Amino acid sequence: MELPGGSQFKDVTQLFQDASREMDDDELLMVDGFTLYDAMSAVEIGDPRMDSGAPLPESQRQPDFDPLTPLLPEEVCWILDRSMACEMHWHAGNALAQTVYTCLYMHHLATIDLDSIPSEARRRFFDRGLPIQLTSLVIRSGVMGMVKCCDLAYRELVKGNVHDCEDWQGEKSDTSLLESVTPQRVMMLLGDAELWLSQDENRDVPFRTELLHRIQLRGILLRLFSLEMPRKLPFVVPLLAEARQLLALVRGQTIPPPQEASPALHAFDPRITRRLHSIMPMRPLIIPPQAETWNAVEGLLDGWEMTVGTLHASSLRWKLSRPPFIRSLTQTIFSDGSTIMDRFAVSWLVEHFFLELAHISFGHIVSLFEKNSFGSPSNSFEEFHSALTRLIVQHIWASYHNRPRQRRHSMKTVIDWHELYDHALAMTARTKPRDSADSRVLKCIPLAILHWRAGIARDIVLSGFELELHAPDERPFAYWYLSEILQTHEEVLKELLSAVPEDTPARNHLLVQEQYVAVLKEMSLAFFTILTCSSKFDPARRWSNFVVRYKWALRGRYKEISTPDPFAPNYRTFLREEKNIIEEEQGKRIQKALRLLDSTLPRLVQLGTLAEKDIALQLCRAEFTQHHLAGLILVSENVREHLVLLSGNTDTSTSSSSLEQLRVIWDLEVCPWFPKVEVPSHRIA
Amino acid sequence: MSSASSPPPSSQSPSPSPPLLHASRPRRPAVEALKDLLNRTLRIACSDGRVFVGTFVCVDKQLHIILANTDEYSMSKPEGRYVTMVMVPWRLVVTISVYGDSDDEGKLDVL
Repeated sequence: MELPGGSQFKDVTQLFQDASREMDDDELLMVDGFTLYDAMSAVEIGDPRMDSGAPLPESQRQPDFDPLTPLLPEEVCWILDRSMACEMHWHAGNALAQTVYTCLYMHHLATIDLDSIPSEARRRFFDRGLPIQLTSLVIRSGVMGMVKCCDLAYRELVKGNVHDCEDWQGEKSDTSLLESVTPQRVMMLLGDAELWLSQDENRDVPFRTELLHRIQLRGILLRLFSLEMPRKLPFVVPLLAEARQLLALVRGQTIPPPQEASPALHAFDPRITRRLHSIMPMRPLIIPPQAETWNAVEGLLDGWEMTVGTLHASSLRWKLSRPPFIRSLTQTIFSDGSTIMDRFAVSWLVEHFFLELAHISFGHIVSLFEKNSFGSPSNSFEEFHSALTRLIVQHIWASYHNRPRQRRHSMKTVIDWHELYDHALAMTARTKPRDSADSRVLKCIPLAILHWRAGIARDIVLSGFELELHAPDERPFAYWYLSEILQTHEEVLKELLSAVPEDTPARNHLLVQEQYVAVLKEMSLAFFTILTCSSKFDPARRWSNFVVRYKWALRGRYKEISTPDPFAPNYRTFLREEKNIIEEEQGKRIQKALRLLDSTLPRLVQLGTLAEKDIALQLCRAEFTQHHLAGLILVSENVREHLVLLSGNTDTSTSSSSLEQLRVIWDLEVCPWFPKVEVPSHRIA
Repeated sequence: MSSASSPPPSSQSPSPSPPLLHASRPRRPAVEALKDLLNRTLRIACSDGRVFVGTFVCVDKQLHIILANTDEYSMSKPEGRYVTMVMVPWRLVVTISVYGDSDDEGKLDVL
């Protein structure tokens, strides 16, 4: 290889050696403004973890890829399937260079264009009796379709609803995603491939149907990705139905994996990063197997369906496991900044907030706060309305962020909700009710806000478990504080329920909430009871840790608000409770926890029945009952069983440490908020 | 070359040193010449066959050389690829050369 730059360079190797001898041991020569911190971000050449361009050992070297190597139809099928796997793995949050770009055909699309294939290469296909169209039409259009789908998804992801490097990876490594090719052009090519596969003279091509289904599925996916949202929303449902049908067909087809010497195996290079422009070093990834890929495609289709459902639902909720693309798309559909769901004014959210939580019509609220006979609302109400609108919109946006970001948003805004509650109390106190209906409305306005805020405070603490933020020593307080929040929440719900009419959707929703809150309270108290133990840290150290961990609930700004915060954590009370628990006999503690769990289990079952009537669970009822409640039941039963075992073995000589012997096992898939427990076998024997 | 005339970064000299120590420090012609190369384009040929061309921004006594805005050239990518900032350890270095500039050739020749 000729040295780049030619003869314009002058050798200075000796100068470096001489300078090294003259330099002090810890001396650094740097350009102005360059820091050690900058130096740390340099990629170390020769370090296999960072240096993507380092020469590979012989065993890892891949033969040169020739895109014009004739392929068998089943090999083409396999390549299309694996390219789909690469695409889905990008959607899962990995870099393009580790996934999509590893499909080498995408870097040779011009080479496999039928018009530019040289006659010599054509002859190779002819000699092997393999149609050149398998490469020039089927692979080319299939891979182009995959790349274009990524480009269209990229355009959605880059809108800022989800975050690059956090939810997804946007680094393109200077490689084209066919940005300048229209989706229509790619659809046309897919159409050509479909036509060729459907022709009578190709009826004998093996795996013809399998290829056809794959090209059709890609065509549908491309059409879905290219829909302009939310304007083209009505087109989603029929396309989804078609995609699901094709996915089922493709899933049922068995494609033999390429043989050891097959050229198809060289169509993917996991170490493509070594040849790409790179900002950060990337390790090669193992692309998930095909069954997982089809699950991911199904997940994407489910996400689309859920997004469409959002528009027809009376309340919004989200599911964590949705890929970033769907979370971004949902936000795009939810609001374009001026309207909600392309149909309603932003104030629609406030109307539904009170209707769904307290069965109050917005017109009634407005009539209470008219400042004059012309019906214009008072300034105070306008401020309240605008603050509530802003907070709800932000809350829904944040619901589609990733979990840590959502938690941060809640921690930041929980005080704003308290300010709003204070505002609502002051505003309603100043208003004179005309009749009992007015009194009901005035009572419900602040309570609805308090109920909402209780949910946010609860979620902050619970997400701490979900994100594994709490050290073992911090868990008893977290559960105790959670039970305190839930205790207050229970009281708020009782008050609210007393003012909400029977047989209304709002009441059904609040009844579910009441039961749900009671269940969580009992479970958190049970876990506080069994997990509390003498801390190895002194109170001062624990206090400083506590202040940092719960700064969101201890902000100085709370003192500036006239209404005291009903959810303020009281560390002294906790220490008292903790002392009481520690001093209590182990047997009694176990019995106390057992009583709580005994009460929880029937409540959980009852909750499943109550949930049937809650319209707010319309879109996620199955998920709520079959996954979420089932997880809580599983954990409660597990802990109950082990406590029963322990209580049977508790005697005065061994009981002192029996609870401390419980091993806590977090299974985030089963229940992210409460752990299962295990008793070491020697304790039971 | 702006960097050549600018004072060396504070990390290069022990900060509490009295002026007398500076005065008694032996002349270091190679270090001074190397400082002149900062911000210039270097080409580093490595023992694994790769060549890096980038802006020389930092070096230590052990000759860990940091290049910014670097392109990597190799047999598999002879047209080069951009690899941002790299640190080339001396053990991999075969030759280092600086992009020619007639103003500085005299200085380099002296060494």
